[in-house]
Amino acid sequence: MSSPIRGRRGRQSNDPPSQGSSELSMLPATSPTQHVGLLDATTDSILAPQTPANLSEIDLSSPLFYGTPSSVRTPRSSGLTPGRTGRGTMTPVRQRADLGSNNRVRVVNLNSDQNPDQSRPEPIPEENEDEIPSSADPAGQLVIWGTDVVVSHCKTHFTQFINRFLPTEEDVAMETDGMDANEPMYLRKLEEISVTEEPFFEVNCSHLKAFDADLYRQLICYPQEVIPTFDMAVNEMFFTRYPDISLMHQIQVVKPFNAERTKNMRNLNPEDIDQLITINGMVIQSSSLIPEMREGFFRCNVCHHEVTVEIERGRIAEPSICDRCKTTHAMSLIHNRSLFTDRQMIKLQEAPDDMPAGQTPHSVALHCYGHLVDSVQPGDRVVVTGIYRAQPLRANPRMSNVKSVYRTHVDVLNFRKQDEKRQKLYETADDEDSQIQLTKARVEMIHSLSKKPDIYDRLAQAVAPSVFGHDDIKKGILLQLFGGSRKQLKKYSKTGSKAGMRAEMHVLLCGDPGTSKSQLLRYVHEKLSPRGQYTNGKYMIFTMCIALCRATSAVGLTAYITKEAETKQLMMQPGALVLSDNGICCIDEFDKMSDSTRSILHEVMEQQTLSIAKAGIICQLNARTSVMAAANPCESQWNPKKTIRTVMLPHTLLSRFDLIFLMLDPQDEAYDRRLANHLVSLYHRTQEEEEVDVMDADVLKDYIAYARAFIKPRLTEDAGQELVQAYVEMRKGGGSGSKGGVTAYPRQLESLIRLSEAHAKSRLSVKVERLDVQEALRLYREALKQSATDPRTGIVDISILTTGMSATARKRQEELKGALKQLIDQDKGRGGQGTKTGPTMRCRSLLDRWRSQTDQIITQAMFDEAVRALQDDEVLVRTGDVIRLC
Amino acid sequence: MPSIENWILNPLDVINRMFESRESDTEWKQKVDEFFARKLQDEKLNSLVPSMNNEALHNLPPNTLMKFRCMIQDSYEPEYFLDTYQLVDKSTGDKKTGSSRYKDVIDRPGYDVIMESKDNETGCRQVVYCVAVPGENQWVKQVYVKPQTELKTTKTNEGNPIIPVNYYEDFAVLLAPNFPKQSEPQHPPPQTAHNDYLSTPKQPPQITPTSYPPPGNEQTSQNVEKHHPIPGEDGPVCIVKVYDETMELKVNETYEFTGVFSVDPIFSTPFDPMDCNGVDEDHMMELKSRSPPSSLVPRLHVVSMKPLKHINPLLPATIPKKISEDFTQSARYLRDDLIEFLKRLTFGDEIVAQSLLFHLLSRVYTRTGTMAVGKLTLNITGIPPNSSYPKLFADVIANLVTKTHYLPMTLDNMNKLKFTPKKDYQKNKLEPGFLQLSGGTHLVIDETQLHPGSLDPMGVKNVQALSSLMTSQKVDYDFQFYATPFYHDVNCVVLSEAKSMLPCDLQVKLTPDTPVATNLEEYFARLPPSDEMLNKLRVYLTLGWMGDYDMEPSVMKQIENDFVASRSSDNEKMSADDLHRLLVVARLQSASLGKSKLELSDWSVVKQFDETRKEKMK
Repeated sequence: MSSPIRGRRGRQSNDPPSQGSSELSMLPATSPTQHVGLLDATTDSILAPQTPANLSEIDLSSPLFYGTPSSVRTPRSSGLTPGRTGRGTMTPVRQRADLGSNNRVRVVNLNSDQNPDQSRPEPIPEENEDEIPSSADPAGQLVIWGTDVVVSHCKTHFTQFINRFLPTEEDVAMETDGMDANEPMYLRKLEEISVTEEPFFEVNCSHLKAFDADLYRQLICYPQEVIPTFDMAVNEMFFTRYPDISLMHQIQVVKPFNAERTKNMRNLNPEDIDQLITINGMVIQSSSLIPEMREGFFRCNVCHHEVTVEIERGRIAEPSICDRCKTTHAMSLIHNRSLFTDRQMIKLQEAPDDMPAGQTPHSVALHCYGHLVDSVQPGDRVVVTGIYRAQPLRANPRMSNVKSVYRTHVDVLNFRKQDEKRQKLYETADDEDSQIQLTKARVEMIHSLSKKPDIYDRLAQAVAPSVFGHDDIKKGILLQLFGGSRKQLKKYSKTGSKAGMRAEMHVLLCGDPGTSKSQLLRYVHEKLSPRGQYTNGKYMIFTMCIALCRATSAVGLTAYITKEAETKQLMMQPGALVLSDNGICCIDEFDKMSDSTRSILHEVMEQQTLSIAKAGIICQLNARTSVMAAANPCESQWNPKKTIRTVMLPHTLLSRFDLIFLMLDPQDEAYDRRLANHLVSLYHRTQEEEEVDVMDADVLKDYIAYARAFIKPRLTEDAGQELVQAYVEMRKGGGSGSKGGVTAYPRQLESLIRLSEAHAKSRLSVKVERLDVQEALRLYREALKQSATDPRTGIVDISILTTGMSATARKRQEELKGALKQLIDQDKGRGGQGTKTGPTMRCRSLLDRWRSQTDQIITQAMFDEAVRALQDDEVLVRTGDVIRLC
Repeated sequence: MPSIENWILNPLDVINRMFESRESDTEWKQKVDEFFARKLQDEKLNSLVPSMNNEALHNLPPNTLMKFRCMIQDSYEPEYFLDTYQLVDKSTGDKKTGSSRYKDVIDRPGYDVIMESKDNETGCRQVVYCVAVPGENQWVKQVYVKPQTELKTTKTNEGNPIIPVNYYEDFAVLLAPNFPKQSEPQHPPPQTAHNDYLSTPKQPPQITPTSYPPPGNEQTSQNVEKHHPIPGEDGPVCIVKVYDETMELKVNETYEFTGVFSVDPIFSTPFDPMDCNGVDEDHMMELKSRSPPSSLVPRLHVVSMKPLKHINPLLPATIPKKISEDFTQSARYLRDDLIEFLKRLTFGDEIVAQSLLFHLLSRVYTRTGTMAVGKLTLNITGIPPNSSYPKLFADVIANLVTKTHYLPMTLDNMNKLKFTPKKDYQKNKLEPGFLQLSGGTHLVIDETQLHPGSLDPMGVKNVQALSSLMTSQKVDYDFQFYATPFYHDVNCVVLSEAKSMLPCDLQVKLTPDTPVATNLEEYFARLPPSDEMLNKLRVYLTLGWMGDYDMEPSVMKQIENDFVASRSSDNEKMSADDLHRLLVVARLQSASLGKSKLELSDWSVVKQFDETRKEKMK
């Protein structure tokens, strides 16, 4: 360490070539021998005024030297590779652009008394790379200027880390392809590199921390200096172990991730500047690729002397004077011999989940280089590890005043996609097993929860706790949320592609207005769906009120085409059904849907696809969505006689629902009291005591997400038997004199299977057992009993249902019916000359006769209603204007 | 008073002095905060600080202390700046330290800034984009501008038996400074700047008859740049920089910021190309939109701020205990006055007048699950189509409460207006939507203007946004990749011919008792009571609106019993929705009487009220 200042040239020649050059190649910005002499002159003159004595941290780190070109270097440039220097392979050196590192690592000898002093004009020993090996003398007191990093220590420690670090249990568990807990995992990674020849080496910072906390601290605090050192170490090791491998370029990137300074974007503050940080967020914008000049090539117009000038603080300083012929302003830039690097600017926005309510999301600019360019797209959720930078807005030399503001960005070192399988709207892969982000603790909690005997009830209670009662309905919704297991019936698929039984369940809620149907829907939509809608393909739930969409047909439900006003570009806007692929589509006011919309639902609910032909665009989209619908009866009140037909929905559509629930007010004083208490307490300010035993919506959400992603129950033999038996029973019961009731079809068997599977999921069981089938059956019957006919008797039992119709109204209707019956009976008695099919009569004459007999006012509507009621009682059949008695 | 002038006219001097005499890096910042906090606490001194709301931008001298009453429209990323920095004298080479706190630029002629100095310290400040409170009514602006006239009118009415005499006087003294404005010669008297307001006080410019200025029109293009949520509204906007990092600044909340007003011309030049080195075009757009010319959007470096719970100029920002006590006593008389007045508005229909009163007092006081508890959206039916009534009605409401907006629900408006705010990633700005309104704004929706026709996709979205606002006081802001719900508290009243298509909590039918005047305009022109009365009603409404609320367990029990009893009887049973409505109305009934606790008597009154209302609907 005799002459640190002018060490560059001297060292080069003095050092043992092999060691020196291998070091050289590792280091970020090599200043190759070719232009050393020239550069010395220029750099001194350029640098001297710009680098004042004491460099602030900001300066050291200012991201102004952006790596090297990504394209293969011309041989001319510092293509000194390990191979060239005796190892026989050609692995070109490629500098990392992402570090934005300084060319020169400034090293200070702690032993010397030349501590940086503000008054000294140039006290800092400027070291070139090749200086470093020499600094690795046993004493090792050379530290990189401004840090406490001793290069040699740092290197040896990191080598040790690679050699010795054993994977933790967690890693072994995570890794699929048999990781050996006794084998140093990073050595294995080196081996992988030798096989795959992908020269990227990822380091989990938490491992480093566990291994050597001090080294970790240095990495976090001085990434700019430490990472090149790591690079060096890795390359040395690699080429020692695998001398014959030729990589595309040297293992340039020690890609760190999972730094502990994992930050919410919102918490970034000036202290983090120049530190290694990990933040997550969503990519919202990426710029086009920007070629950035990395090294300018100049040639003198007079003597053809050639000079290369490296980028310095984001600029190439054009040499004003030719070194050889001393002509001024004769140097001109030769573009095609200059070197460029890829650069891309990306906007990262705070993930919607991290955003505090009532605030707009923050965003941060990312700069990425080289191979990271174009590795993420807008909409991706990523975890970024990089160096946080602040860059002063440049002072304007023409003005005396300076904007005192910095621009900040992150120089990206590594991207990790949070959800590798991003939700692709138009070509959804079968991402049934895409990962979900749950912490280990959370998963454990979920498992321990699942052990509880009453987990099913607990979960059901947690669904919309603000809605009272309706326990079975909540259970139905819960099972719908879990969904069945998807089955591929490859053997029987005639059409080929998408055959299989759907796993999605559909639930219809119908009932009198004001029975909290919408509230249930809203709850599922708002509380159980993640805040972002595109963000998590797993679980998107949309709500929409079709009643409002009617004017524009199915717009909003399916996809529609819009024309962007500014660009005149046609855009396809996916509607709720497409967006809720793999999720739940909540549809309110289902009955008020137009016919065309309804026909779309036919396809969606059974085939789980959606065909769109609009504005010349025809496409079939996946819409594997569960439909959760709410409908009002068409007569605005529930008619118990007509059962499910009260809802004006075609039978074909109705049969596609697995569960149809009827929501009625239970007529029960205890229930009323609890309801009242609940409602009143909402308006009372201290209402904490209410929600003690109810599971948190977030827990429920995670539980469901976990179960959906990881649990795929299969039927056991036992359960199969049970199902078969139940189905046969149902066939027997429903097959006979049913009238409009829902009987058992194969579809119902499928429903039962789905329900059983979902129930098994609710207890995180991979086997569908007898008890699952029993519960599925119970729930299914419950739903049937409420909404349609009891499959055993074929007649709905009115007494167990409240009708929603006031008693007086019902009485009046009975009276009318009675009167009409009497009238008809009179007729029958009088003109009994009958054909075999029974007497017929005309409606109009009947009505006239009725009107003449009574002093009540009989409207056409009242008459119709009475006829309909009699028809329900099978007294008569009406066809048009003709009534035929049975 | 030179000292006062100094800290108002030259706050940077004061700050600089403190910086020069600092003992430590943090201490002086605290001292600055404390100094201004102390000064501004004094209402008299506070009122001396000129307000950006009152005067035209070009009349405001830069680098003086300024107040701004505003709503946060968008929050930007925090900004890093040179908190302290080293300077070197160009001629002598002497070094010294400076601070750019409370400044946009470092302006030290003769010095060079050493950007790389080790002693430089980077600070961080929050940046928010603020607009004048959307929907703020004219009378509010007037009173803020001219507190003195208020003083006179209230003073002449001493001895009013209903309101304790000192009640108004206290405010008057607080609001009206005795220091003559002439102490600041640079400021033209505010009256001149607002002559136009004074001459046409009853015609707030933001209420345009049926449609908003079409896009592309000059007015709008300027408006877009200024990002006012309500199209056509024009008021000051400002980029506010807050140095207190712990403050949580939320979008859509109202604040009064006091700070150093800055209009440095460095921002009026087009963006400095030197800054854009290596910046591609996308980012240029963003940088441009983030630093608009300061002549349009000035900057304010905040030394002191307070969140505004209300913006009623007749009341101090924080309500002293005494006022709320006075209010409790006088509320029932004022209530009668207000009902009387509203009855004239409803042509003698008492039920509608009462409903309107409840509506005006309602606010979301808590949220449980998906419910916004406390809101009462009102639907007044029976309004003949093509009548000028809704507009006149809105004007009357605007004269009573602080923030209103009248929305003619024409097909055109529904299809063309932007209701929900949308993030523009090109500009990195939240483009405001019509529904981005601060808490306590009253929205008068005129459904009589809606005619059969087709809604385009935009219109459908708008209707959905509106109904989501009305059912759960929540608007989903469009962040393109996802939507984020923002919670609001906007009181909506829908005027319609028959039942409204929008979901409303309370529906009443307007049935005039007295014959409807043939010339509505004339009738309404005679409607407003005296200024003194109006002010009383305004104060009453604000205080009633802000009131706290609780329920005694015994009353709760009684209500539960009532509910159960009504359910067991056969006809006309109460549904859960009915109970919800009654509970809200009950709270408002007790609030209208100045009480914070529900009493049983109120409950029975409310039940009676609802019975009558239902009867009327039949």
